[in-house]
Amino acid sequence: MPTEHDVGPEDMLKAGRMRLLTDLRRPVLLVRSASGTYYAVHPLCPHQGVNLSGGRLSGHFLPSEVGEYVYEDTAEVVRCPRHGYEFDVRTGRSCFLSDLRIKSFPTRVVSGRVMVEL
Amino acid sequence: MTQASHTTKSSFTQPLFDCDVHELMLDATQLRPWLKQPWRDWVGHWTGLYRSPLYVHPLLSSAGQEVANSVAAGASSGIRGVDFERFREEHLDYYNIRHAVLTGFFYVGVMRSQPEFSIALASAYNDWLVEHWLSKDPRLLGSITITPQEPEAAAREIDRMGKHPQMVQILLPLTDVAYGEPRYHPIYAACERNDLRVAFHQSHWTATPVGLTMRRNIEWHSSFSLAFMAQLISVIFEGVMDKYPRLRFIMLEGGYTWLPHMLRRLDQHYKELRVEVPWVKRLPSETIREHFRFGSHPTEGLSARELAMVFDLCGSEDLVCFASDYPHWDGDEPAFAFPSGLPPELLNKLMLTNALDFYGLSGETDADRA
Repeated sequence: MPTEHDVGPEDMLKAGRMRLLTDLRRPVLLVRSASGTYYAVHPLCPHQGVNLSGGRLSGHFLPSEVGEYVYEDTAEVVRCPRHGYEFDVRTGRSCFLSDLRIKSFPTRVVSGRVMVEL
Repeated sequence: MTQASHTTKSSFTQPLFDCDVHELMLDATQLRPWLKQPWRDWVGHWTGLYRSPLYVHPLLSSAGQEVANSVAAGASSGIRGVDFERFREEHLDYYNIRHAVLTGFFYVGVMRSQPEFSIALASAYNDWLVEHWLSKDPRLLGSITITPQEPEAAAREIDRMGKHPQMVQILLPLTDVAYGEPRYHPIYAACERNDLRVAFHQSHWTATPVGLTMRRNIEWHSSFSLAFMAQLISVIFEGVMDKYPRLRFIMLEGGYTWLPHMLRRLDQHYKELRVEVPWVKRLPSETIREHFRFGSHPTEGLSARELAMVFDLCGSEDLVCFASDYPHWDGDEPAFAFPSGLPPELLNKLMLTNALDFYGLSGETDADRA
């Protein structure tokens, strides 16, 4: 039965930052996007089990015309520090493979506290 | 290491022989104690260490760039690949590693000018390797850095360093030359008389089938396996194995799933065109199965069933040896180097005994004997 966990105050992360939480019932990668929204995902990359918390939170390059680079700077994509796999923290889905994903957990801010449902 | 930092041992307990670990230098001036003048001064101005003139790594995470970034940020210890203690903790001890072969990242073999300088750098690097890495752990084995562009000097360096008990091979960086050519044969003669293996490894000067550069890093990186195929073809048909029958080769960072194609292609051409190379006396596939091994890196996501098909088409389960490529950005975690569901005996061959047999070593460690 999922339960909601209070993981800290709303200002615990600056926008565009992420933090590995290890004191919950399971490890969670907590992310705050550029817009200030919190998300929580499973921290291990499904490719080779590398911890995503050592990677970068960034925007990503949208599908574009040949020779064009279109960058969307939302800080909603976590990139694996080893092989560069990219995951959208809003959904946990891979940015390039429809059948690859990390688990995402419902997250919200209630009365100034960040709540993650595990 | 993928687990939380407080974990000291991986749950993946399979004994390992890691055929490809890259030790890195913080700065080339570390070689000064082993360099005479003018090389001692020159090395301070040398920009060849870890600098690829070809591409910026798109993830900004090539090992060389990571070292450079760490140095720029003021770090002098703890850098992955540079710091031996970190390597021992997160790789040698974390996994059940019986042996790890150091393959460096010091490609003076790509230098095309100032030959005396490149020869001195290679020699100094080998001495640095002994003092800063090999002497620190008996599980470590070494690769002798040479200058293949200066074959006679390379042979002298092989004779000098080949006597070190932890040196097991020389390292030939893939560039734009074909290593089967006779000008390189003094290198092979030196390896044979010193009972050393020959390792091929991709470098930052590896040529693709259409030349040294392609327009993008992803195109260049995707071409590495083709570069290894070209070297295999060259060594076989230039008769290296017929001239030096005790030599054994290992190809690192070129993959292996292309072998079923290559073995058949070479055999078919041998049957048709053997008249051009009468010094080649055996089917290429037989020579390759006996004298060549291939590092597992980079993995290509095969299932257990697909991997069994590859080995069946190769006619051998002996050809592939585990290689992590630590600490490079695309390195493989041991637990993920091969698909799950392999028979334990096969996994043990791939992870340990194929390499032990190739290098002619025992799997025992000091701890085993204690």
